[in-house]
Amino acid sequence: MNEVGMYFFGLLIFLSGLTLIFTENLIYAAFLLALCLLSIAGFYVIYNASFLAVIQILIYAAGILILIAFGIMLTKRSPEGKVIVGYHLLFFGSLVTLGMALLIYALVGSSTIGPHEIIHTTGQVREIGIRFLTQYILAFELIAFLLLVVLVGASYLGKKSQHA
Amino acid sequence: MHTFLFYLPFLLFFVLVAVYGERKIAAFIQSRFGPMDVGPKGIFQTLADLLKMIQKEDIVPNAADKPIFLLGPILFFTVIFAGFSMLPLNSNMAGAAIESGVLLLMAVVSLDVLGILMAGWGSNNKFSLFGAVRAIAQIVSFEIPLGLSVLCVVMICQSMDLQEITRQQGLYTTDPIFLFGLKGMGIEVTQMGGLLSWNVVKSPLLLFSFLIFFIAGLAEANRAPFDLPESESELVGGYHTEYSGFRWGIFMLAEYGIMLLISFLAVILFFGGWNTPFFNMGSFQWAHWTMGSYWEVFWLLFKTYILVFVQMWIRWTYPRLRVDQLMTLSWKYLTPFGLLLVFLCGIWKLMML
Repeated sequence: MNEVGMYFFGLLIFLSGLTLIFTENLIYAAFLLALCLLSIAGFYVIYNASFLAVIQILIYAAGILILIAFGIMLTKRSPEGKVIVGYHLLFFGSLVTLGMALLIYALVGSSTIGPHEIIHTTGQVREIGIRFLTQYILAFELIAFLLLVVLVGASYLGKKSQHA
Repeated sequence: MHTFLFYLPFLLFFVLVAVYGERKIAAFIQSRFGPMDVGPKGIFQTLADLLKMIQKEDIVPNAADKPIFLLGPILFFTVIFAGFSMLPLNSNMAGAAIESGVLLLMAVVSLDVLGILMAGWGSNNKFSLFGAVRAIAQIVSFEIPLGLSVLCVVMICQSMDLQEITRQQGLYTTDPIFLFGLKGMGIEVTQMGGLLSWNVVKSPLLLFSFLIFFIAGLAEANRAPFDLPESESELVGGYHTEYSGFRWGIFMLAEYGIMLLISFLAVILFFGGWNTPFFNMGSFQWAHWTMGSYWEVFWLLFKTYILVFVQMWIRWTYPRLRVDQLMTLSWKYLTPFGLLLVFLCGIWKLMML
């Protein structure tokens, strides 16, 4: 059953990812990105990381929405009512993609965390909470600090543009 | 039996009743009679409306973005109905056993904007698009106070499982419950159950959390006074302007569905879920007398219906907010108060330990 689910979601991720790159319609691309990210949440559920799956849905649903809102507001609309994107910087784009692919390949090759290690964990939320406040406290606090900086920056920019 | 099998027919039935109820309540608030013609006191009005709606043509505008236009309402309803799978029904029927059930419900509630946006964008109509963009701004902003008020409850209960949260608010609890949660006072009410072990009484600060939750919930459900995405006087019909027939019906279904979902969630988080309000006093074992499979279902639905009624009451009492007032309410009032409440609830939890 898990295998079937895995291949199903894998196929979904693969297809939606590919179409999202090659479609010219920006809105389709955004919705396909949502589908892609939700399929990844499906993967998490299969490997028993339900908390992570929920967080994935919670964060990316809102994230995609903001993306679409900006996509609508900042791009030109053709007379048929479609937002069309073109292809530019093909060389550098493929270079970055290749670099990322190599990086991910290296990371996956050297990583020791596999699905089988996670699969029998219960009481995840509790465990995650305890680990965040003991083992990973520095990273946790740094991320919190970073978000605070972002928040202050955003409100500063917002205020400045209001007076201009 | 899985609770899912109960909630689908229940939702359909609820919408039939609620549409009629809403029209009657609106009429009584405005000193009118409301629907009176179809059946005695007009009780078959919604059935007649339903028949009319099903017979209508399913129109897809020529200039619409067809796949998105057709998928929008389906996604909207599916996502909201998925939320019902987490709800418990009574002490034996728990719904989907998800450790982080509350969080998933929040995720589901925020996902429904994707459906709204699909509808608004796909219609290729500026009123629809305005409605959809307003819906995004509104729902994404009100997600934060909603999340903060839920966080207060999660901190008090130390669980995100809806069934576990409910169980802690009644006779089936495994931990001792003290009056107002204050262990220092030493008045134990574990055996009394009822009202005294509900979250709002166990930790009175949650009453304020509930207010924030309810206001944010109204905004999430696009209900008046926050019905900006579909305000008739400004945007024709908002994001569902271009829809007709049964597709429009699905929007209605989903809207009443989310109203019900928010009410269920409020009852489970703050007002004891399926627990009885009566408590044991000496030889009068009211709490024991009014608990049992069917009683529990009754209490859950009864409390939910009261909240649904309050939502309708508010809709026909308050005028609609402007967009900037809406944002001010969310960011300048509800969010800071929500943060303050999270802090105070943390202190209260320390006194409960």
